[in-house]
Amino acid sequence: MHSHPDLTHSVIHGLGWLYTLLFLANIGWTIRSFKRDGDFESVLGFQHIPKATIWAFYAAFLMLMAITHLTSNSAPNEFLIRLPNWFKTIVDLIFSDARIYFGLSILAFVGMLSMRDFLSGDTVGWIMFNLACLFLSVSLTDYDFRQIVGKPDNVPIVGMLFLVGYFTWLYFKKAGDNDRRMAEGRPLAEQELKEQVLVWPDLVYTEMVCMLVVSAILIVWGVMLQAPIEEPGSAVKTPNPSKAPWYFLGLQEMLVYFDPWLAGIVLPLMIMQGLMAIPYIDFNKKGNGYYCYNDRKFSVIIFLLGFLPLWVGMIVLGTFVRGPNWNMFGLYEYWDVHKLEVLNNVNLSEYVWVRGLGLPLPSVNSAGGILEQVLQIFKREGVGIVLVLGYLMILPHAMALTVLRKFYIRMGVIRYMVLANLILFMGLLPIKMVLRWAFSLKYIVAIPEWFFNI
Amino acid sequence: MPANDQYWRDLGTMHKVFAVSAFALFAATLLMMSRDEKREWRDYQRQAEALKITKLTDQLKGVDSADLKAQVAEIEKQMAALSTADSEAKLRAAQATVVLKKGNLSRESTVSKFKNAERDVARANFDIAVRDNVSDKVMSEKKAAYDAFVLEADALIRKVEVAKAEFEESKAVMAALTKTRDEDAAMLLKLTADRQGLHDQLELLKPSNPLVAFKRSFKEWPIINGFNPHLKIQYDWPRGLKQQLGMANVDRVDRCRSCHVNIADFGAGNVCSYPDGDGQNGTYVQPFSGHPNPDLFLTPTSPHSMEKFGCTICHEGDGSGTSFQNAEHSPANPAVASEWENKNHWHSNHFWEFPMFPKHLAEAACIRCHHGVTELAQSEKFGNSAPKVVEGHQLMSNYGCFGCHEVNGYDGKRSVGPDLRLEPNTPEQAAKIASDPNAVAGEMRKVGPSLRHIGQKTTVEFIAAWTKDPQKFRPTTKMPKFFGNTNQMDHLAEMLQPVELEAISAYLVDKSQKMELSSPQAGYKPDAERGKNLFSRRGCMSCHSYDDPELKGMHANFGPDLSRIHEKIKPGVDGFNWMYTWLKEPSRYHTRTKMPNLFLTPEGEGDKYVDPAADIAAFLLAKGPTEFEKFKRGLSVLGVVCDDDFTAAEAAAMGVPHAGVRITEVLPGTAATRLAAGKDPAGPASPQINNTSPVSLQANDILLKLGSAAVRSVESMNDEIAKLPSGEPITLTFLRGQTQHTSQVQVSTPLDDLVRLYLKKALPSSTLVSEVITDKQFPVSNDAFEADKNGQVKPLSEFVKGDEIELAHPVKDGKFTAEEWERQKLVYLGRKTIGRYGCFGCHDIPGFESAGPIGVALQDWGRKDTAKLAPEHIEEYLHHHGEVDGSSTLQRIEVALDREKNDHNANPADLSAAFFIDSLMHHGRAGFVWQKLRDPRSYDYKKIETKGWDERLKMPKFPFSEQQIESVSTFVLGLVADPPAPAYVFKPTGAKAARLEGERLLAKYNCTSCHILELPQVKFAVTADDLYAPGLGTKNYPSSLALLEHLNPPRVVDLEKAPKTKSGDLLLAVHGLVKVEPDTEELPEDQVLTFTNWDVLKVGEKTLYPGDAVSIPVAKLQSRDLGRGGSFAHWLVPQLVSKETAGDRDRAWQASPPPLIREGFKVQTPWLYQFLKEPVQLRHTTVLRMPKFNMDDAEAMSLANYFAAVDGAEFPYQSNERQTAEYINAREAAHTAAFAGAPQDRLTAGWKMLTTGQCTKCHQVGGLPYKSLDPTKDIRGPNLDQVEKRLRPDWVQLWVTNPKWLTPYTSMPQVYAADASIMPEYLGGKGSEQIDATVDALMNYYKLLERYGKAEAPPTPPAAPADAAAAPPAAAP
Repeated sequence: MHSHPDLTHSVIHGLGWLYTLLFLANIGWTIRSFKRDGDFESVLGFQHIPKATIWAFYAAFLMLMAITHLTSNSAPNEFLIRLPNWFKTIVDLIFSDARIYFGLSILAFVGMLSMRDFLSGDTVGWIMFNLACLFLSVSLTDYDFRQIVGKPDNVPIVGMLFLVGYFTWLYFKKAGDNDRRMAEGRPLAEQELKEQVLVWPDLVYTEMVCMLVVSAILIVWGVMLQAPIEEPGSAVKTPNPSKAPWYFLGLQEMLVYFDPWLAGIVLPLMIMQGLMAIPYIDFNKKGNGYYCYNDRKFSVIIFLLGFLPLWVGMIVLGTFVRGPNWNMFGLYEYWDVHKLEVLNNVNLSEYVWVRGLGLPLPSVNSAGGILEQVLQIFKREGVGIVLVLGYLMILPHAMALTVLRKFYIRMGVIRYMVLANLILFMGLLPIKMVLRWAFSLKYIVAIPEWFFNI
Repeated sequence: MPANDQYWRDLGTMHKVFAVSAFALFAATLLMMSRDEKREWRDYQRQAEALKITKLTDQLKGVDSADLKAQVAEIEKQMAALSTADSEAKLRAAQATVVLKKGNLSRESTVSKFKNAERDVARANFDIAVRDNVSDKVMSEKKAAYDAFVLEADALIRKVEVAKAEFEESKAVMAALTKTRDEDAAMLLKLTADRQGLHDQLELLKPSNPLVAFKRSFKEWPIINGFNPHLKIQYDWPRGLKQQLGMANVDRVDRCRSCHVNIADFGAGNVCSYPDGDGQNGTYVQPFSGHPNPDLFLTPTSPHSMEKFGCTICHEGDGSGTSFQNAEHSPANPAVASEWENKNHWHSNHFWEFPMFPKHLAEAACIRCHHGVTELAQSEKFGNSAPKVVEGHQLMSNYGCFGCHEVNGYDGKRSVGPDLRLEPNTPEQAAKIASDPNAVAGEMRKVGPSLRHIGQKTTVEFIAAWTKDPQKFRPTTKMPKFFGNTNQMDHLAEMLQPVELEAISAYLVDKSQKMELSSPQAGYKPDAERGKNLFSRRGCMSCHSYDDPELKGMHANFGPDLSRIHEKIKPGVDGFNWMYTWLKEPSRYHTRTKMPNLFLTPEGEGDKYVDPAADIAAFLLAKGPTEFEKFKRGLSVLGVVCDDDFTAAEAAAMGVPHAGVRITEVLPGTAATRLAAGKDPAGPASPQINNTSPVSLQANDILLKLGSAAVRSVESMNDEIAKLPSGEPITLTFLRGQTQHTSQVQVSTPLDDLVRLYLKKALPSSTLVSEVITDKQFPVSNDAFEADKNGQVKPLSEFVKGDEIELAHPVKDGKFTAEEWERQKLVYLGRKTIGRYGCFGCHDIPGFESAGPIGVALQDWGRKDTAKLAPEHIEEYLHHHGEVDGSSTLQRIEVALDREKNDHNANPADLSAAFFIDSLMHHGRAGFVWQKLRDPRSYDYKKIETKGWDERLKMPKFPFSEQQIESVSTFVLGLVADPPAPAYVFKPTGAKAARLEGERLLAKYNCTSCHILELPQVKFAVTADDLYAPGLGTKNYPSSLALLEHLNPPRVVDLEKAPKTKSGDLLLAVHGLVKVEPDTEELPEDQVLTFTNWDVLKVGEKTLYPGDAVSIPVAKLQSRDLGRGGSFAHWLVPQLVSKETAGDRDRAWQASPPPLIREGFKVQTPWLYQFLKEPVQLRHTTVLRMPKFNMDDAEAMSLANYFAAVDGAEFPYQSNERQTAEYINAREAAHTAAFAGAPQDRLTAGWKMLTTGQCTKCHQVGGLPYKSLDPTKDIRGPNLDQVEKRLRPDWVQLWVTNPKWLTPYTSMPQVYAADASIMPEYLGGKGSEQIDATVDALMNYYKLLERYGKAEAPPTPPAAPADAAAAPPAAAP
């Protein structure tokens, strides 16, 4: 009847099972740690305390958490283990403000690259996994968070985040290992089986097991979570928010910043063509058949930049943060259709003419000749057109002479130009996002007469 | 085998991993299968089977009586006794003969068949020869061959016949031997058939053979049950009933019966096999019970058969769902919802757009096909089968919701739903719609009275007082409340509302058109006391109530309660004349009024001159007018709300000196918000206004000085400002925080503020607005007054398009005086306000002839996208307020739900409210409309703070109860403008259509208030022996019984089957009228009710005829009701009995509106049509006349047809056999043969009997004037010249035969009684022949009148005492 309660008995008990699973996993990790991690030489005067003790304490804590949740029978609204409001406020602030969100994701990206050796350690990895799980389970005590994350539609995306995290971690771990090996002159990890592939029984067996496990997971998933069917499709009544399939949410995010023809056609085509062009652009012969970072820094950074903050990050944004009316909502914020945001954006030409010169926008005589119109439009949009042309035509040359000089020399004109343009197109998205947030800039070049906006 | 021993992973581990994953997959598969096995419908079907087995077993036990067993054993014994050795031997011999003969027959048949084939070949060969044109010789050979075969074949056929006869004979011998045995076997079968049937059914479900039982359970095993299972999903595919899913229109599939197994299980006679109940005493709970009301639903003989309709077309929900959740059930209230949540894991699913209707809203579905709605209320067969939706429809019609919210039932000319639209307002609009081939005009009249001439009726003060709160003046009014609602409780409304009310009155009176008023004859002194009597006699009270001790007992609310009418009508002679005119000729005041013309024409001469209209007017106005609150016009205000109690302590807390007044609120759009600047209204000579610190007042400012005078108190400040004229500048000195500011503002009246508000929307800038205010006129271009090239001056409305025309001076360079300008501003505001509130939706208001409905159209509101509803802050509102007493609705609901969950004893009304609130909280349509009706302005809660005054919600609050609100909601939710398929739309034709249309009109014109349509009924206990039935008697002709039974079909009470009391008495129901009420002063056991029966009632051997009185001791009385209609007549009769007819109840009935029983058999439809259009005076006995209703042709026609349709009589035209030459000639010939030498022909005899006989004593006939012999005693009957056109021949025949058979209370005597012979000179004095001839003469009245001319007045005879005694005073009903 009233607004929904954050906690109910079923949620508390469900979380109890989640903590139980985490507890069991950490028992395993404690055993592993006991076997491998060795001892602290001296703690508070005690000698040779196994490092696994910490994990044992942590596991015990989890067990207590599990028991507390599972045995809770008191009124759910009196249950104490829940997210504090100050934490919600901070997280909401970060997530509902695109600038902070994007800025932090870039920072995190840079941090990930610079601290890769530290982060790719086993124990650090496990700690990160535990933190992620704890964040998730504590957050689940919030009704609005549950609504978004627990939606059957979004469950695979949560899973995907863990997978992406794991594989990124795995890459850095293996690459770091090989980088160290190379630095020390040892053979690469992949070197040992360089000339052969063990198909029978290893590969076949593994595939078979994968098939079984995946089938089992899909069946259980299908049984446990009902298909998230919504209302029958209708062109006159679209859901709010109306979202693309999760894998296209990155593209949909681009629609916020670009005209549909750019965000929906040109940029996706560029992405596909760019991915196809990689083998032809890549002149770096190193890194074939083994994990490494130092040998392929440029490729790795460009790829991960495109994949993590600009693709996965945008999917997260689109899934968990974009709510009704395509407004941004904090993770713990109620998706209120009545929330409004200031959405007044202006074109660059208005900055130049209206705000800069204090003049009205030059008018375009739609009845006039083509040439007349072109000139009038150019007069109006000149600055933007020059900027865009400069970005796409002059910047590559400038880069060829400066930062990418080595690339230019090694790749030749055509390959270099393709690379430079692809990178510049990729750069368009963050640039436009920043301009939008910082200056409420709508279009750099706006020619609505011809349905051409950039 | 691997190529070498090299492994990537340890094989042992891999095996383990493989094993584990294989088990995981296996477990997942098992999980999947178990979930499939556990689907709810399987469980329900199993339970239903178990219930059926129990039921069958119980029935079997009931059938297996000891008696039956004995009978069976007896027959079996008989059969055994029959089989002796001798009989067996005989039987065997006979059997052998039969076999032999049968063999013989077969053989002969075969041989014959072969020969026939050869014959056919020979014939074919002959035919081929003809085709091939062979020689004659060959032809003759072929023919000969054929002939030979024919001979042989015929011989063989004869042999077959012989063999057949022998076989039959042998069989007959055999049959004779086994006759007894066969009969016994048949008897045995008959005795055990029921048992066998039940047994067979049980055997199917629960086989007694263990092998079969195992097979049955084996078929239920997982996997096996994939092949031809007996537990399976049940499909219903209602044909043609598509459903809309998003954009697709797809076939409907209902799988509801997968769980609701027995829903359509009915036995013979539409008896539910599994009646719904609480599961006790042979009842069943859902989903095992059957559908209620099988006569109406699901059975093949019902109008909504399972096969044709399925389930979801009425119930909504998802028919394809096979689980409790997926079917989209809707709980009736949140308590049920939480029960479902626990029991069925139910949760609400807002993605399914059309969830099932909860039980209490289910009727909403009916109007998808039943667009007329009347048929739901008035079904001959089913009565009122959807009372809620019918009530909703009636409320919407009566309260005029459609005036603002059109319900357009047509898509082009296709009917898509109930149609509630205003009729075209002007002849031009009507003509436009009539000329549009794709438009159907609305039919509803505006429900409120016309305000076109209101200036002559009442005063401006009354209009304002009434509009402010209509219920305060008249609690029973239907007019809703527009002012003082929940979004008008703030200070701004307090200031502006009175101005708006004044403006509305000003506009109405200003625009009121002059109407010619009539007045009573000069010098006539109306008599109020007589007026009161006339008021009660002339029918006023059939629609209106009046609070008076002498008029108690009759409560009509069709028209307004008139108890306080004198208060509102204009004082003096004008008001009296208005009232007089209205009473005499209502349509002069309002052309479309429902108030009929009651023919209140003056009567009498000289001293006896009585003008009933004047008398009634005098009665109604006797108590004189009342003063209503006068307007406080034109006081200026600043537009601030101040702290009335600004204490020193508060000042100290604010850190300011305790002086001046503290402002708590600055009202938007008032003087305080407008800093005076620029042009000074006082004129260019005065110094410019300078705002030293141009800041407007804010809340919490302390106002210190007005001009130079210090402000001391709130009152003094207000008084000071009120003294200033509007527009006068004044300097305000006020303290904000520690800073002192001075600003100059122009004070203003609330009227000016409102005019400003509206002008701002019409004019591009506020400077122009100020100019209009200061110039005292709206600018009009000079072109408006110039003649164009044709020399025409266009009307001003061409130049000033909007309401602002009221502010424009109609003359070039004209100037309003200050007073005129104030008036014009009021009129302008009135026009704006009326336009905003849509008053013209219910009232005819000058200037709004072409205005359209202001509200949302509702024809498809039941499908409105819920995202388009704006609940705003309703949850917060209901949390804090919501009840009439201001308490929290949510709290009320919560308490109710707790009670329901804990003790199951919540108030049903609270539970119903809980449903709607819950729906509202989930943004549902049902809750939205419910709350909108409960408190229409509550959606403005905390919204008015950020809304303009004119943007506030304006729907008025109707005086509905919560139950009425639920009915209206049900109706509105059913409006989907989406009939499932044209074939399913209920389109009655013929008599059915006429009946339904008539029912609609009966309600529209309130016919049932005067006329009885169904006679009162008394039910009493009596033994068949005690029932006194006088029988036919000697006065009546047995030969006329057939006609009586034709016109009044007998009700037969079967003594065996009729209901009985516990003591075994017969429970008899009699229809008729009370003759004598029980005397309450007697001892209870002596009290007797005497009742006149109107039916032909056959109770066993006895027959009661109409007119027979039944005496019922009150102790034996079981129930009595008033039938249908005639509440006014029922009220009037006792009044007349006590005051005018000296205890004669029959005479009182003759003076009252007649019951319309079997009216269809009585009157000719064309005449009734004429009569309804122009009611002529028929009866002279009544105290009132049939009034003339404001009925159009189609309506009169429908109503005329209605009565015929109800009785199953012929309509719309009737032929009259008695007027045909064939009939007259044939009767004439028979007459001549029977009475050779009679002095006149038969028709002449009839005419003479009519014009010279008894008839003339009471009736005017043959052009004779009516002349009473004894005016004190005689009762004047209707003029007989009406009969030929008015009445149907059969009815007249019966009437003349015995009038009391048709109308028991009539004074008309039985003239030609069977036991008396009168006028022997005609037709040999044979009564039955005389009746016939009289009727024929009546039916050929005009022909005969033409033939014989006006009848001669008989010489005034001396009163013949014998005659007078024989014929009591006569009159027709």
